[in-house]
Amino acid sequence: MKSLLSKNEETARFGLVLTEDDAIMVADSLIEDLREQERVELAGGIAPKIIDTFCDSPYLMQDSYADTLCELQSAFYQYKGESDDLMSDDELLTLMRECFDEICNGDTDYLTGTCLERFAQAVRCGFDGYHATGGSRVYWMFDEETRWDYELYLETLRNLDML
Amino acid sequence: MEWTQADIAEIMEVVERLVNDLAGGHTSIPQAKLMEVLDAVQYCVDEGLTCAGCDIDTQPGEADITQRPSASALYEAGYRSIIRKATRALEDYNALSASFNDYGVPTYRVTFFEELPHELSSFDPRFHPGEEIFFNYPMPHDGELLRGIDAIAACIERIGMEQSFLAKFDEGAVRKAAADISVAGGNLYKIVCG
Repeated sequence: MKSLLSKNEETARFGLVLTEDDAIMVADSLIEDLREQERVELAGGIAPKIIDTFCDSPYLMQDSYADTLCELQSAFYQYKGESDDLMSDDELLTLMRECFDEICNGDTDYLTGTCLERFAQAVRCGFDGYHATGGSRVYWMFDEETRWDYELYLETLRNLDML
Repeated sequence: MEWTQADIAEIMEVVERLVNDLAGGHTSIPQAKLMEVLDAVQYCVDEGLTCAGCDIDTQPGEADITQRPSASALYEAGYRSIIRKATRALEDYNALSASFNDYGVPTYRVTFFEELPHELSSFDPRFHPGEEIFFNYPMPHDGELLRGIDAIAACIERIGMEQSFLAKFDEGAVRKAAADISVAGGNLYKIVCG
């Protein structure tokens, strides 16, 4: 808990502060996550590292900070196991942050149900390209989400009489 | 062996060290991995209690706790004993391979030239010293299932005994007998044991 609360000094500039109750909630969630995923924590919990990784995300808000932290923690331990522990902590957190911001728009359900599920499957099947990049810029190879493409964007602008 | 609080504290330091080595930078590990480490430590301690040169009175209530080695010393003694056994097993295998005769029996050849080298090269004395190993080659035992390097060494020893025995006979006759048994659905070991 102390390590979580001490992070407030760094995260306050992003408008993110954990109360003592929040820290207790995150700690309790850690115990439940470890029990559910049948894991043993060696370093006191991944939450401080999650805070370090995500604190400057535009999708992390004060009013949902503690809840999102718990959800990201749960996702981390779940997909650590789902990827057979082949990814390091940093690689997985880097991947999670990228997907959280650039694909999921801060939606943790979408993060776990789509990006991480898909990527973990790829890792179990032997993909290891994340080692070279530290987990960065590798999800795109498995991206199946439909997005705006250039022609669609232009057509939309024309339809809006903006061109 | 009767464990004291000091033993438990010492052995947990060993477990912690092994877990950190196994974790390799990860801040968490699956529970199953922790159980493997605990099993490995227990196996080494048991080996330390029974290895040659150890002189420990392990009867509960009778042991003079101040005289016996500490738990961590037992662990290290057991680990070193396992390493010695592995070295000896490899030496015995190499010595035997120079003269090994499969007498035309495929399973015999596979066991000696594929299974045994695989088990010897993949044997992990630190994290899986007591791994259960099953060979294609039938291994008679005295009711106790051997594990780890003991199983490998026993297989090499028994094959060595069988080779010595079969070498006393005409090779052609042994090959013919093996072929006849194979046609009948049996295996070479029946020549010796059957």
